[in-house]
Amino acid sequence: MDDETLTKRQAQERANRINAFRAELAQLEREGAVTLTPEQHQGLDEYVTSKLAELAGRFDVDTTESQKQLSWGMRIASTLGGFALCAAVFMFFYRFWGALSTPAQVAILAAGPVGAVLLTDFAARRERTLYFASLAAMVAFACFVLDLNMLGSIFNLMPSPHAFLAWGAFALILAYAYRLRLLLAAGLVCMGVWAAANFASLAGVYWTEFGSRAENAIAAGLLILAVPLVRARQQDPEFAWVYRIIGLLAVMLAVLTMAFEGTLSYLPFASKSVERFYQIVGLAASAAAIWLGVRHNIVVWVNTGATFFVIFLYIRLHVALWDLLPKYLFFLLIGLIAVGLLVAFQRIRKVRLA
Amino acid sequence: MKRWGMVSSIALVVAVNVFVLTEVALDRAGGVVQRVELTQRELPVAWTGDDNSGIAVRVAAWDPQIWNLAVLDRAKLVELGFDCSVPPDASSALHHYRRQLAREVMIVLSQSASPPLRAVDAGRDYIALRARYPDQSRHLIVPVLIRARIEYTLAKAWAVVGWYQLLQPQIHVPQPYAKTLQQLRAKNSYHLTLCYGKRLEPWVCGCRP
Repeated sequence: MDDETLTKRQAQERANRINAFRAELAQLEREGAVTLTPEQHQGLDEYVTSKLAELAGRFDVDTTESQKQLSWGMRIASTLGGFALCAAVFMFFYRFWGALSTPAQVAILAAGPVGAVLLTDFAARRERTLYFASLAAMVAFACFVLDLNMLGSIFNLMPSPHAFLAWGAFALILAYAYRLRLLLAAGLVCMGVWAAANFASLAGVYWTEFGSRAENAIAAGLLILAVPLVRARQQDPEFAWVYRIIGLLAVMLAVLTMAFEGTLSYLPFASKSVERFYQIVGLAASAAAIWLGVRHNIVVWVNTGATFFVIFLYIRLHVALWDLLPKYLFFLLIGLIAVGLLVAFQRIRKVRLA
Repeated sequence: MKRWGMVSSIALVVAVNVFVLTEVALDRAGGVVQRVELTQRELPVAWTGDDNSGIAVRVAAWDPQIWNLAVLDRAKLVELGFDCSVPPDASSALHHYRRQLAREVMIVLSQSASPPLRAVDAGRDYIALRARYPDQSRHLIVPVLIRARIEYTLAKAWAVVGWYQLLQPQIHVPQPYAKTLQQLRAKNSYHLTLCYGKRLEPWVCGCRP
């Protein structure tokens, strides 16, 4: 792939490969596996240095370890700063809105997200790392959430699930326009809630009660998981990761909820039967997530699937054996199963390497 | 892509705000479906937090000490569409009634000693209820969520009862009524007039001592 068509992520991967190559070449020279003439060394050094400088100049990537650590620090500061500013926006408005007339309240509420979007665009054009743009976009999202919430309070409106559709669409637009994964996650959560509320309404449940039937969340989660499959070619891998983790968590947490509380299911059976059923479904679903993750090289599915597999296995064993076995034997059994899983994962890893 | 994103997101904000405000304007312009004047007993000022300068009143329609069994009893719940076929003292009753989903219905609230607004009837249709309770000055009809539950009553027996939850437990008081209310609140004596449109979304349309 030539450099003209690189994305920032690809440029960072190239910079990482160059640094790894440099370090490995030095090691091979020390071990005597390869010897370069001074001219070759100089030519290579000049080329590598200029390439790294070009990538840093064009894409603002990290070319050293200390830069990477600083970037992580900036990401954390940007995220925490964003949350703090969102809270400040809410608190500021609550503090002063009571003294304003209704038209003034409505004007300020509408102007907030518009102004923050303009600020996001300004920041994105001025700074390529997008830390400030990410912060401004979070504030814009918070302003829009505040906008619709307060309109509902001011005019005493009946609660509606369509607010989540508006918030979700807003977050998704900003996420795709400025390549912001946090906004993408927020947008997917909002869209998931809207979808679950609509599934509930179709089934005759009042929308605010959609949580009383956890299968609504499973349906919403499966829809989110389907997007990277449908848009496989156009999907940015970093965005696909967000769809996969949000969708999988929605499904697995819903199954986990019903594994504990059977009354939260559409299934018309006794509570204990429903809980047993979903404990087994949870085991099967997490095993499937691990298998699919290994097969298609989706690391987030392997890790998430493994975590939930352990949780569901523990629940199932607890239900079946806690009263039957002495406590030390129960935990010994859990430990032996964990060792067995380690051996199994190691074998899978060897097969993959081969 | 960035320019498209900026324009689309701003357009979405403007469109949603215009839509919401238009719906509100149409509802209020469509005529007042019910109008009622209530006092500080029925609409006490709600606590909205120390940092919140907005003022709202709470609809005092719930008293945790008293269950209104006479209105939302088993017969009424069946009329509202609940499955009450399982006897309340059956071993499966708790599970059966806990699984039943909440339903959106209307209840008729009337002024009483306690709670200040007591539910006297419930139904699915506003027009039918209003025909039964035509006096708007005495009966307020509001949307609620109702759940079926079993309770051990004072008569030492299990009974199927309906719990209700107001969909609008608080009503915002806009300026200039908020200023008047703040002045009258000190004496704890005021009258607030509530108006409702077709969507049964209330607004304050009067405040006096």
